[in-house]
Amino acid sequence: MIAPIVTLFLAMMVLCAIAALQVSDLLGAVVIFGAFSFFSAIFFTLLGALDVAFTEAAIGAAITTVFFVSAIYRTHRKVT
Amino acid sequence: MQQIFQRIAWLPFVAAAAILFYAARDLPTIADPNAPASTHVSPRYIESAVAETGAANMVTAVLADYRAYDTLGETVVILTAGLACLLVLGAFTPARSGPTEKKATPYEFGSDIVDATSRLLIPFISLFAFYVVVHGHTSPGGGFQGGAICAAAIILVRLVRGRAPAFRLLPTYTVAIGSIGVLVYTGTGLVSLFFEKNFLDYSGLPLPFHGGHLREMGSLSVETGVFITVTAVMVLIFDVLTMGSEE
Repeated sequence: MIAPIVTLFLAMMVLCAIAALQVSDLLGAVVIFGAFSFFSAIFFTLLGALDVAFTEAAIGAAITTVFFVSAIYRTHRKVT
Repeated sequence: MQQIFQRIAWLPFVAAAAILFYAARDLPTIADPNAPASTHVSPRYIESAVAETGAANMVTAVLADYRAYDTLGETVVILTAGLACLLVLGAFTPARSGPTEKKATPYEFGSDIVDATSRLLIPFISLFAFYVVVHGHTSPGGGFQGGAICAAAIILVRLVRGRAPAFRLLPTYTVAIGSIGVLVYTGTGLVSLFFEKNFLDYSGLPLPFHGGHLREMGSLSVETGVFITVTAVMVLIFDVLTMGSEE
């Protein structure tokens, strides 16, 4: 019953990963990476690992995004 | 020559993907009761975790009690990662050269809406972080999770209001706080060692509890150490990354 939903979120994660690689604006890539973390958090919730899910939401979607944005601010935004 | 390499650069990835897909066929399906992981050591934990450790959440029971050595190693790894960030990034901070017209503090959103929303959210996020640590024995949670959420709250304050309102600390002091977390962890183990039990065997702790309840208290102490270390290291990395943008 739950398998199609899991497959859907896995497909969304793969799409987000490919999109994050393709975008030339690094800030956009970071935002897409946050979406990737969000989908993987939902994926962990569907698998029943709630603690992993909200850790992923806190670290992957929030803190890592902040770290990446800080790192981009220190370097360059565009891929050269 | 280089163009040829760029042209065929996708070939190794396709090969690796094919190997991974081929290997993944041998993996057991999700929640398969006959999988090797569910047949060897898991039944032992499922049968006796509540009686032995007092933790209904078996993830916490394994993480903080049965496999406490591993978790100690992970905590030290996190502290080491924070130290490495401090050493690498802190060394480069004074020599930040480049366009200096971006002098305005970019890590403070001046908007009132962001300010009001974060004021509404931060108490609940902080309270949830402590709940996740303290209640981690019966519901999903633990030191790592609570530390991550608490660090998210502190970083949110620093993003919105700057570093001053949220524990204005130098990174060296933040490292010291993270080390205190590891000290709490190893101290718990050393106390049980002092009372003639094994290292991190919580049944030796001098607390007025018995059996599983005593071990639950011991793993709660350990989780507190993990919580302190994770929070401090996350905030430390954020501070080091944004150092030089304020003041």
